[in-house]
Parts: sequence; structure tokens; C-alpha cells
Amino acid sequence: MSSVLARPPLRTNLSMTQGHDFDVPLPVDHDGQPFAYLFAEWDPGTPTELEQDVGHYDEELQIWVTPTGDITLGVYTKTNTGSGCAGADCVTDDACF
Amino acid sequence: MSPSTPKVLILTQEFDPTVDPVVKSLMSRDVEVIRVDLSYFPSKLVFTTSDFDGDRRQLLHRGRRVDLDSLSAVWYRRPTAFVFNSQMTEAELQFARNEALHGIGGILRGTECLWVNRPDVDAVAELKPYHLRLAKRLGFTVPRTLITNDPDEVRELITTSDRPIVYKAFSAGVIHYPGGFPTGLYTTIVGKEVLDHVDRVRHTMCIFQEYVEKAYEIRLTVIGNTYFPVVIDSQSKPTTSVDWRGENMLPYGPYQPLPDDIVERTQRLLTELNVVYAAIDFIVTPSGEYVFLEVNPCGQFMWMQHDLGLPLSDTIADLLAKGGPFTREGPVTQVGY
Repeated sequence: MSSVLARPPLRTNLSMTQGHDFDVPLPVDHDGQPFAYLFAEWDPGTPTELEQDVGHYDEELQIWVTPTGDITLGVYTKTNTGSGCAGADCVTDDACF
Repeated sequence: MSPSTPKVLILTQEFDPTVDPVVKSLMSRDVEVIRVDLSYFPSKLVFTTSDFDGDRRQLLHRGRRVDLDSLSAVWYRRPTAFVFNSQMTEAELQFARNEALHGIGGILRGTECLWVNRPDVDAVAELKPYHLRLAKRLGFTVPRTLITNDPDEVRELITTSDRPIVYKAFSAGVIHYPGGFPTGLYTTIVGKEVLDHVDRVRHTMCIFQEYVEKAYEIRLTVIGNTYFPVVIDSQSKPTTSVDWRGENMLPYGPYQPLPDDIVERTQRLLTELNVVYAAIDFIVTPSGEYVFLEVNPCGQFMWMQHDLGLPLSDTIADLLAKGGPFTREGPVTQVGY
């Protein structure tokens, strides 16, 4: 079964930090939409958070480094892992497919 | 690094806060970590396998040559897509992508080390219709479920059901924007108010289940044979009562170890799914019955480490450093908080 569903045996995911367009309007409701869209909401976060210095990937350390030591970049996915536990690595990251 | 130093390959994107604590944990115990994203291919990432001059399978990144046969483990997280030459046409890109998926997928699949989890295994394990059926066969209580694109079936269920009905998506959510995340779609109770739009069911597959009364919920994170059952007091907030993903800061309840029969069935389920890691959701009813909801073989977990102090990243690191082969026949350890 697996050889059929996953051919070839790799998958890739959307980036958590790239390719997000906040300016495109919501699609107009119409009868051609899947049933799910009746219940969908879209609140990607506050774009001003994107203006903060969100840090960078350190190739030597192989981890993401932020100026404060806290990770706040994941506004898109509600990732907000903070060392002070004020903001946890939030559950909606499960949506990152 | 000595030849016997464990080596762990992590495939994920550069911003992945779930991975960073594991990388730190691995490095603190002198494990060699090779973290790469598939977007590095082909410009910054080279794969080679050959038996022309000896037998070798190698990965080359930033001047580091990694013998893939020497890996202890591969952690397949959330790599992003290959980035090819921008001058390629769409057809050329499609060809290049398919060749890369086949070639790299085949080379990596040939490694004999531990995988957490193999992506082809994940692809099967996450199928709700499949794992719901499997769970039911193994003796779990599972909500009655309708999966269909037939509006008449849904109309009949909603108008005749003796219990509330919920709609949920197979995938994580809807996509409103090009490049946007699937999001914004939680499990929703649906009643007769949706009947005017029920014909939209015909556009794609839909899943409906009976709504199960809850005392609380369990998010079980399984790392090898270590279980981390976390009680989510979902009924204490209106935003979490139907779907606890509706709240970022979750209400937790006191630690409750899983009953032996639930552990035993879960082990059998994960053995059949062939996964080393999984996140599993249960409802616990007011009468104390455990109701299986779903398996997420690639679910996040770091939020519970931060909120509850659970040693999840160290447990993943232990597993990866130890390497394979993994067997689910060993005793299960449940970790509380």
C-alpha cells in the first residue's frame, strides 16, 4: 500500500517563513467551493510582527538564532516558542503541510 | 568525531523550532548532526551513490561529505521543496523534480538506519479512513463516521442523527492563498443550518462523525516506546470544547497515565502503522471511556515541553542517537508531569 501512496518515498512541506501573501482577498463564497469553506476562517496574524528582526539560520550551529533568544517568527503558524514560556510552540503548527 | 560517533541526519527547513532543541541535545552528547533542507538541492546539496569504485552512498553539503551508510538515524521533519534553476520551463521543472524525488528518495530509502518516520510510512499512517478502521479492528472505541461526497448521505445523517454531528477535514485546513498554510478550519458541529449548502459535499470527500461528550482529552505523544500522555482540559474553555486547537495557550489537566489496555492497543496500532513516532488524540468520556480520534505521525510536540517541562526533545535525541533497529516489543514507559 505504501509504495502506491508514496511514490516516490519523499514529501516536502510548505515553508513556515516564505511565500505567504496577506494581501490577496478571501475567495468569494460560491456553490462551487468545497463544503469545508463554509466553516473556514483566516487570521494569519499581525503583519507588523514581520517587521521585527526575526533572526536567521546559523549554519554552524544548525539552529535558528534570534536577537532575543526567543523565537517569534512563526506568526504565520502561531509558532511562538519562547524561553520564558510566555508563548509556547503553538498547536496550530500541526497545519504546516 | 571518531568513526563510532553516532551520526543523525535531520531533513527539515531552516525555521523549525521543534528541531532546534533536539539539535542542541544531540550535540551536547557529541552526536554528529547533519541538518539539511531539500531546498538546498541541487545548488548546495549533492547526493551520490556508486559502486564503480567501491560501494558508496554519500551526501555532500558545505564541504562535508557524509557516508549515508554510517548514519544512526534519519529524522524526517518538514523539508521544503527543491529549488531548481529559475530558467527552467514548467515541463523542465516537473521533470527535474520527479527525477530528484525518485533519485534522492531511493538513495535515502536504501539506508538501513532508524527512521523517525519514513515519509512513505507517514503517508499511509496519517490516512484517517485507514487508521480509524484499523483502530476499530484493534478494539478501540471510535466515533461513528461517515466519509462521502454524496450530499444525500450527509442530508440523511444530519436530519436523523440522535446525536450531534461534527465535520472535520482530512488535511490540516483550507488554503486561501497561493503559498499560504492550510489553516482556519477546526472541527465544527454541524446541524440543519448547513442543509442549504449540503450540495457542496459533492465537490470533494468529506468526513463527518458523531460528537462524543467529553470529560477531557488526551494528546498522547509516542517516541519509540516512551509515552507522554497529556491531559487537555478542553471543556474548561468554549474555544477548546469542540476542538482544542482553537486555543494557543491550552488548559491542561493533572497527569493521568493511560490504562494498560489502551497502551496495549496503541502499541498494536503503531506496530501495524510501522511508525516510531506518533501523536494520538483521545477523548475521555464522562464515564471514563477512551475514544480514539486520530493518529498524526508528524504532529508537533514542543509546545508541551515548554508548557509542562516534559523531556520530549531529549527523548527524541536519545532515540536518534541510539539508532536502529527499533522494536515496539519492549516495555512502555509513561512519563508524567
